[in-house]
Amino acid sequence: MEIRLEEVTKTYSGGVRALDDLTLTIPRGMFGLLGPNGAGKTTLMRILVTLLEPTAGRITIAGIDRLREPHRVRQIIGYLPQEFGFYRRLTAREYLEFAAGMKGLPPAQRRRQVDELLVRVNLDRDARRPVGGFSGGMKRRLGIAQALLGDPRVLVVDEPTAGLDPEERIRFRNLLTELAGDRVILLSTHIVADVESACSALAVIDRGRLRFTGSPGELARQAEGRVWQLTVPARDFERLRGGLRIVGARRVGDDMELRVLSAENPLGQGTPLAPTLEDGYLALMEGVPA
Amino acid sequence: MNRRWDELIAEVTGQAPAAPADVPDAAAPDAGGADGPDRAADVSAGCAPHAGTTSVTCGAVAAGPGAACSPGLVAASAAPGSPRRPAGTAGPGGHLTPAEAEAVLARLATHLVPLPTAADTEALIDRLRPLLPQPAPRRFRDFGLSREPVALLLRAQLQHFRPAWWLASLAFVLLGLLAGPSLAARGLSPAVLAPPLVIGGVLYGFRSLRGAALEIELSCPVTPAQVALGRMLVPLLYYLVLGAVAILPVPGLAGALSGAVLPGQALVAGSTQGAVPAPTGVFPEPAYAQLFLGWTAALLLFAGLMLTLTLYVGTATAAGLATVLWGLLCALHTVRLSPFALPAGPRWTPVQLALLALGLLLLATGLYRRRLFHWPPGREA
Amino acid sequence: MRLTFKDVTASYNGRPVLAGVSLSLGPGLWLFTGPNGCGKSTLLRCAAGILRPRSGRVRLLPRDAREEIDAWDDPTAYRWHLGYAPQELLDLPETTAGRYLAYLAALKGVRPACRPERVAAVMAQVSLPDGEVPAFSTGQRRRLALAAALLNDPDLLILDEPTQGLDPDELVRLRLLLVELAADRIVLVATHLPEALSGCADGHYTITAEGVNRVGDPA
Repeated sequence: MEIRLEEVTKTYSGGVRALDDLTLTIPRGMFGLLGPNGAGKTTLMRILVTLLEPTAGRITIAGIDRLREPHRVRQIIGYLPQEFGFYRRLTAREYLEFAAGMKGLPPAQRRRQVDELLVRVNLDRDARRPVGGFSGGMKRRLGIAQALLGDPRVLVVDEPTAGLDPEERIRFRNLLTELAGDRVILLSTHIVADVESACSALAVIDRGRLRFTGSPGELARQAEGRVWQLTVPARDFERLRGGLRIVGARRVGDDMELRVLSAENPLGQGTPLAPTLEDGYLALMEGVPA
Repeated sequence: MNRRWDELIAEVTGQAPAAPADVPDAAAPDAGGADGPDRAADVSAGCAPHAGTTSVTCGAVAAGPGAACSPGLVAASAAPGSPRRPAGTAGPGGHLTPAEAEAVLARLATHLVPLPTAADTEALIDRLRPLLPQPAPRRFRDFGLSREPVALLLRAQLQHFRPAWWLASLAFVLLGLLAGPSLAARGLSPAVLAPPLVIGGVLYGFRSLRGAALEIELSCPVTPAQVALGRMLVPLLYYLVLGAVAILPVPGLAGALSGAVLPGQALVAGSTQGAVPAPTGVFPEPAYAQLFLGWTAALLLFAGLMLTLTLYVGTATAAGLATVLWGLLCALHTVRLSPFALPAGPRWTPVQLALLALGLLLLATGLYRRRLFHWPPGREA
Repeated sequence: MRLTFKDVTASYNGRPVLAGVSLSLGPGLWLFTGPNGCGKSTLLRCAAGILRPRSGRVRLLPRDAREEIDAWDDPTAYRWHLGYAPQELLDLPETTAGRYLAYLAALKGVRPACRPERVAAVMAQVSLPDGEVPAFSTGQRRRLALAAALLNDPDLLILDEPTQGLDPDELVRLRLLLVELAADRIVLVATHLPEALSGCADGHYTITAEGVNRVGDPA
């Protein structure tokens, strides 16, 4: 139960390489996809859910060849894109029944699945309310319910927590973790904290290339021994910025407490700190020429 | 002090120190009092700190013998109270001969400290500067902002109007005036086409005044009314010019196009039902002027209306209401009460002038300082 | 320099969201978090002078000034000292970042002679290259709004969700910029990602249905 990508390339007209020779295995469970804006994460996801065709490469999803049998892939994959529209007047139930119809679910199963899913995403009490009045978190949950129609083995979720407040984010992450059971959930996000708490494995993509794959702990360790706390007078801050990789700063009186990424002890005055996942990501991307 | 000096002199010159008995009493007030301060002054004057250095050097020593300092030195060596001898004369008790003075000066010259150069001075100042309290760097807002009331920024507003719009408006006016004769046949002046033009122009110009862009502009030190008026002025002025070019005959141009019927002339022909008056001189004939007045009045009236309505109910609703009003006024034409009728009768001009004044009044609301605060989404709750 | 809310009560879209909020903030970076719909954006909009509270006062004491300026009694003077970046993403029809900023600079009172230089300066400050706005990514739109807010070098900077859509590198840049700006300005930031900025903030407030509360000093 895994997704296998081999030397996948996607070139747009004009020569832009959105994906460049990507080779990656995505195992069962929650898998995080990190990367800067424009790295190719959305392109990769759209290729997986058969919205886009790759220029080259081989893809296998749960043993099915993605390129030769896309229709079979569509039956086992659910997609929650970042932007998705709703018909505002439909109630939650009506919307899901409509989506179920679009997916080709037999009518007998539709009702049952819609009921189950509404309970699953905790929207059963709001099932009769029009979608237009839903909060951001509620809309996301409805989107997940829609993606889960047909009980897909693979769930692809694009920036699902953008715009959710911290509580809603935690609830949504928990929901995804529950669902991860025996599925593959591919979670693409900017928010390092989401990956840190929910994913057992992750990959970092930049400009279409794979930069890293492994566990969150392994990514954090990329910055092992390279994170320092340094306190300097506030007036030196400007001058030091050019020379040091400062990733955090805090004003304390007339001084600045800096968090610095550096191979050696900066100015000989730094105190070593334990690296976070964000530090690991930044350290990894640091080595990349602009 | 004098004894020590004698010993020094003796050491330098190789002569025996003068006998202490020859030294007159130090406490002879009159002579000493008169000369002492002067000599002290000489000494201090000659040995003032050299400007720009932090070490006090006797500038005169560096200049060599015979400079200002030496007489002071020599004078100080004379015991206070003793009668002043001419400089250089040998005498008992501490007076130096010129040769001795030379020897003393030569000896002192070996302890010479070089004067700092200008570069040294600058380097020192640079080293000292960081230790001084730093003046804060000038903030942009202290010199870069103008405190005068923000003007309507016509030129800045131009960027909201793309080439496509300029051309589309021109096309509309041309089409409208091609339809001129048929309008005239129904007794309608070109003014009837002004309101849809204004409504369309406002809808276009205001299309980006929503969402984030609107909130940003509302947080600027301009009132919403001023924002609206500024956006409205570009299309308004453009339409005035278009109308003028289409309606008013240009002297000389008419001659060049003799034989072709200018749109305005067609309308004038329709309204006066007679021969088309040939354009003479600089000012257009009254009939042309009236048509242009009608055009301007309709333009300003609907512009003012759109401005005021937009500030209360938003652009889309304002456009709807204005269109309905336009429809009504057109419908009134059937009962001969429409402001869009061709010039006819003595009341026509005063009515048009009144409408024009009303339009200007509505537009002037854009100039008020008070915030007119009914602009969605910033609705007062 | 001080921003004061006094007994501010406000609604949005007919629903009451703030009731009797009183708060006084000096120079520094102040975070505001809380569930959606509980008044974060409403409070910031009141401070930005675009939403009038039903009751209460919002006043600013700018640097080097002796008297407070009320946001509604003297709106023009208040907005001279203000820069605001809204939560909604900037969505402009065909125009470039440079042209749009030049237009806003004129609206904010930047002297004509200083405008080109000032626009270039703020674009450099937020690392924004010039380009067609319709083609901008989320992060670039956020930075454009931030650049716009900085044009008049305001004493009071109000940013609603500036972190949204930023990747980790852009987040670091934003962090350092905010710390730098907060040295001698009052910077209000509403965010759904408090952990991204709590390390560098001077204070952290939550806005819930119960009211506005200060969270214990950030770690």
